[in-house]
Amino acid sequence: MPYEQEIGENRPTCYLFVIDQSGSMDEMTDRGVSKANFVADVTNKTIQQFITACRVKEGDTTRVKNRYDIGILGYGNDSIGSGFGHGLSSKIIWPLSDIGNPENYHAEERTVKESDGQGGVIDVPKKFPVWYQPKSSGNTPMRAALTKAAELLVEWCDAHPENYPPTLIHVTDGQSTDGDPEQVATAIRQLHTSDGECLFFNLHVSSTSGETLWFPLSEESLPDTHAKLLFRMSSTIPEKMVQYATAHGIANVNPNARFFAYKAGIEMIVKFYDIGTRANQNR
Amino acid sequence: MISLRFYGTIANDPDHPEWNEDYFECDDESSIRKCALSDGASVSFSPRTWARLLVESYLANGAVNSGWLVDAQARLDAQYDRATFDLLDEIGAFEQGSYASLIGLSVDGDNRTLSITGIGDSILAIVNHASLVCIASFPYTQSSQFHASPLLLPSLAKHNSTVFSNETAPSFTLAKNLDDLRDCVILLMTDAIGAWFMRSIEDADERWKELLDIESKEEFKTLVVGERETHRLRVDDTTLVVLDHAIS
Repeated sequence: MPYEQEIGENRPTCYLFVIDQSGSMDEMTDRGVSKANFVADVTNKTIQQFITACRVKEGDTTRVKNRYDIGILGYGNDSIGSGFGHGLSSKIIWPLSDIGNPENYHAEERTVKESDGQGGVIDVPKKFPVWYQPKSSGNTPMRAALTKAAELLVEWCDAHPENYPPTLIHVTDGQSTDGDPEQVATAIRQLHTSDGECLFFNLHVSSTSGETLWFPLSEESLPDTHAKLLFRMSSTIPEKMVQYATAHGIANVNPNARFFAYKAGIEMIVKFYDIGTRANQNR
Repeated sequence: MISLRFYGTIANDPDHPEWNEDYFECDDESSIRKCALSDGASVSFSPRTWARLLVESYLANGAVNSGWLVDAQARLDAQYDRATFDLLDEIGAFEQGSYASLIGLSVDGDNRTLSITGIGDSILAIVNHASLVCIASFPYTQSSQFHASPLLLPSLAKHNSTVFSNETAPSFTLAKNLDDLRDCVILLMTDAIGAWFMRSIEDADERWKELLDIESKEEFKTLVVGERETHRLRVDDTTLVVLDHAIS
């Protein structure tokens, strides 16, 4: 059975987030935040959750369990590159211990609403760790970005031949402007370790909520050629993730469905990230 | 009289025993009145410290209830020096928190009672040594129960109601008459070996009986490493405690 390998410090897995940074990502969602900003928030929150799930402090000793390698690859405006900032910009994929180093993120203070304990709500300042800063400009070099992702994942699979295979989470709101990416996506899905083929999940984000098509079973149910292309680029949903999807209130997910969401609004973006990064019980 | 026959623990990574997040302690090895085993959950900020504090709290006071948990949480808070915390420490300690199972037993010789407290997926099993039959296990009774997310003791007070609601509290304790446990051996196990033990009994493959014959930590390590290689035993911190019960 594929996707059964235990994930641990001796056998980490890899999550590679490939994020569209084209100009259209600056469109505002119906919650008053741009698509680029919201995707950045969810990406940062997901990285924070990986770290807090693996970061241990016993006495004065802090240790990060390197169960995951995490990568962020941004593409837009004719360029592709690492989505990490600070000390991590030189590479795309990093072990969790480097990502958790305080020199490699910055704390951003925001105001959140909390209960005042008396039935009211108050504004409270709160700091959040930020690794990935949103960008949105220019065109959509999707094919070049996925080609780079393929190179990185070939390297990762060669270095970790028996591990739980890597997961690529591709977030986009538009169509490729540098050619058809399908052939590259097919090649990525054929990369493998002894535990199974690489997983390729596609999240198409929208500025409006309520129209999402989740985990489709066939192309026929999709409205246009772009949606059909992203469907064909996506892996079949792994069996365990069907359970997580059900736990998120997404009913009747067919085990043969593709891991793809079309026109996802902000609530669905959060769910997609959460389900898509649950390779095992560690998250 | 209950005495410690064997205690062994093998870390998830045997090359790093210092990363082991299980913790066991008893008050007196030759005549135990109280002992407890805790398994700090992997997804925790301070799993071993939390496991140790729960065991120490149990040895100090075996009446496990919401007030007991609040006291243990205060002891964990007192271990932290927030002045030295960075942002991820703050999130880890006060948003993520720590979780652990607890299996403890208390002997009341006067009333001839063995009181067992079990919360989570660390288990106790009572085996008749003469007939080699497992006569009881607690709190789990089937291997399939290990597949579900366990209820664990949290370090953050905001999660206390998940454990100590009126509906769940009574199921945490079990009392046994010591006189009914003649010729019995008591096993305490964290989840990986506990699930292995239960499955072995259900499959009637006799492997579980090897636990009763282990005399050294080296023998235990050989069993654990071997069973991990066959994938019958999940790779996790693995602790076994074997207690003898002699009727006095």
